[in-house]
Amino acid sequence: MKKMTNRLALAALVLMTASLTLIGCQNNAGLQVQHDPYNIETNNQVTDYKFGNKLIVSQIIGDISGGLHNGNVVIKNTTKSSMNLQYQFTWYDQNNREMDIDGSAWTPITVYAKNQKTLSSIAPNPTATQFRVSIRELNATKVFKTNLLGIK
Amino acid sequence: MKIFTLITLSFILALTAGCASKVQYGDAQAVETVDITFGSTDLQQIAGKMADSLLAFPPMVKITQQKRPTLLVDRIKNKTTEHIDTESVTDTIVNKLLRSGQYRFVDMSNIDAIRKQLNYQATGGLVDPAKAAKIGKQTGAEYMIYGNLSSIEKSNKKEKDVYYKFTLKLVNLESGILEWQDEKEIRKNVSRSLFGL
Repeated sequence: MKKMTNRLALAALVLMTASLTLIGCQNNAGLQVQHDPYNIETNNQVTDYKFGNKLIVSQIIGDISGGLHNGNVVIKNTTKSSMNLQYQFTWYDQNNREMDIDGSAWTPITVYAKNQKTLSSIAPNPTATQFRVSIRELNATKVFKTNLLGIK
Repeated sequence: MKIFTLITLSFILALTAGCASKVQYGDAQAVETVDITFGSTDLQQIAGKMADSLLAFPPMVKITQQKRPTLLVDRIKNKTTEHIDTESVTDTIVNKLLRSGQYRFVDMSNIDAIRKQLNYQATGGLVDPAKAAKIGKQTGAEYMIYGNLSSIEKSNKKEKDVYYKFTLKLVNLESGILEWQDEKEIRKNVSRSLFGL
């Protein structure tokens, strides 16, 4: 009887391990992407230009090309490892009204260690004169992390 | 026997915990990384890059300062192995270009319905001829937009990598000159470990 019980227990253990393995391999899409939203405004109101101590906004340039404003923001990764980030440009008119109330798309970007990248956007139409850039960390872009139960 | 009961209970608990689900609205503009296939973020990145590139291209800026050129969108060839709605990509590009106020478009996707309506107005006998839209007054496109989307996929046991390249071209219909071309590259990869740890 004891031998039978041990066999059943062993079979259950094997089945459970196999099941947990399958659960552990599932694609955990519920990404927790943002921790510290960070905003920059071009109208000389740069309040905080450091993303922790990891990212520095070194240049903010706004110019006009073909009647449309063009926004460029240069960011520099000061760390010794690559940073996976996402950014979003939001454009406003002269009266500080947001041009696209649905918002513009967040764009993923990788900035390599000790390297810099330029983020750029062209105003949606000629009435847009100011922009704001939001930058935040992007997690789990490459590796889907799960615990044994597929929840994290 | 107690060990057996404990293991069975743990097994049931593990299964039920993994089945919990909840429905909620998300941000349509958020970065999407559900899987490695072509997704909304790819579409938005491509459309944003292409529209911005065309709007900032100096020779076209020079033309748009004098007039609003009329464009026609031809199809985007999907050379990837995935089913991708490339019309949705061009629709977003057209949206951005139209909203800029720099370009106009002729819509050939609904030309049969337009022709039917014009014929109805001209010959149906129900529309006041003075107020009917005239046949033969449409504006012809000066430029045509077309392009292609291709991909290269590589994988091994631990990793899968996909590289997308979207190329868009603008050709002058009268002269046949390729006035503008740009491309957007996207690389996505996924790696998995056995237990996801």
